[in-house]
Amino acid sequence: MFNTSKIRLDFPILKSGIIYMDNAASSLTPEPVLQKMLEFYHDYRANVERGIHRFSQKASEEYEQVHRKVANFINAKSDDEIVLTKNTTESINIVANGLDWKKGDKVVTTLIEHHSNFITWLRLRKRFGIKVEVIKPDKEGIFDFKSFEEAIDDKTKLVAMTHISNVLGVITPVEKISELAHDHEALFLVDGAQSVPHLKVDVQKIGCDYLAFSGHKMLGPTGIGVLYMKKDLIERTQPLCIGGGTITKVSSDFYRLIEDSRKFEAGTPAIAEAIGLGAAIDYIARVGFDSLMDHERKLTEKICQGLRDIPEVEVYGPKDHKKRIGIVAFNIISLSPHDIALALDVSANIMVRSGHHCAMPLMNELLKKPEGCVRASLYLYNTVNEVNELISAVSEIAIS
Amino acid sequence: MKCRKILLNKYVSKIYEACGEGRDFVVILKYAEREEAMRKILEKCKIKRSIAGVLTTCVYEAKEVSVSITGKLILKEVNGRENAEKILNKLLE
Repeated sequence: MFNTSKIRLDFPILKSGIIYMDNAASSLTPEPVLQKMLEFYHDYRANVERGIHRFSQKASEEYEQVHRKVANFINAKSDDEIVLTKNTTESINIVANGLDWKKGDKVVTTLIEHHSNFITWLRLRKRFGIKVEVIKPDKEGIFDFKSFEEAIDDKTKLVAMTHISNVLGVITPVEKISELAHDHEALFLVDGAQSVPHLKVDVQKIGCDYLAFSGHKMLGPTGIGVLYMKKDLIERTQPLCIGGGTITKVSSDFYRLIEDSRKFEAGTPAIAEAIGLGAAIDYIARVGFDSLMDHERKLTEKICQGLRDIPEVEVYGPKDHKKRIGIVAFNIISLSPHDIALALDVSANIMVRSGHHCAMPLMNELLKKPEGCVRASLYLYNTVNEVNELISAVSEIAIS
Repeated sequence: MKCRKILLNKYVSKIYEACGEGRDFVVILKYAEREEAMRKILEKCKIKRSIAGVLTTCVYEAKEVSVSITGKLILKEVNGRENAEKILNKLLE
């Protein structure tokens, strides 16, 4: 049985009475994760892979174990397919800058992407003369599969799309698109920043070649992210940075890079943060994904319905709750999203985000809301009472 | 210019551009000076509405300004930091 009250005890920050609904930007961090990170600093603070002394050995073991935990978490075939990065953005940039682009290559992406999975491709267009085709969904964020069939062809080198929109909360059909991309021998990159924290993501089931996500949106610390990369792509993908920890041999006029995924982790990594990510994965595993998803589904239905019942409120994203998660974007007609967010904070202690959410193409071209919108995003520690408080506060703001 | 900096230094803790294409700017007033600053601002503006008793939206020289009771302001569609500072300076005079 999912026990929110028990979970909330692990987040002392919630004792202050705040209602935290900005989880799509960054989640809170539970005590066990913080303790695990502190344990590194208190008990075995040393660099990894660089020493034979016991602290370095312990730190290395803990750090390497994180690769295994991540691999198990997303069902990768081996821990060698896991690269620890700074965040989702860096992970996507490794792919964008690591492939051998030629003029005429094509990238297919969508209008609902976060800027990190969008401007990276536009930059390649400028640099290499590649073609970028952008697929537009309907107003709820639902795609017509035909658009992908028309866009993805034999010139397509990469299809890059989000698993869940960070504005609309809509879940995209990544498995089907993966198959289609591979039919044309294109690579498939999934931005999992919003899905990995909330859904059971299985890279083998999706069939993606790359999956990018961040630790800080899934109870982990900031400064740590993941790039999953199919093993046979490690050689084909060039690292963004090289240096310490990435070589097998260096002479005065020569260097040879390691042939496994360590070539992507140049220099001293974010060790404590990686260990924190491992602890976050353990935490989510203890809670159990099935019950977490069930809890969030109930809250999502309630929040969407409650906001839709307020006449002055416009809610964006799919009306069918099965097609979305608890990222709920809305506006109150005649009020600025920043005013709403500020009023929610001051009047009801509710923290939400306002603006374009790093998705300007979606805001401008799909929702036609250049001023942006308010976004409430849920996680495992949110409660039905909190959702009710949000609905009531929005209602009060709307009628004032 | 110098006068403007003096006033801003006295009352303003931080100014930054809000997320969105409206060119809105968020202004955080210095805690100790916020009440005096808010009084000056509200005196000069035409008040439009109060939101949930915590936020007042008003208009100054055709620009919308939101004033929160916590000392945070939102200057709407001011098109650049320079303009935001100019408007703020007039409001704080």
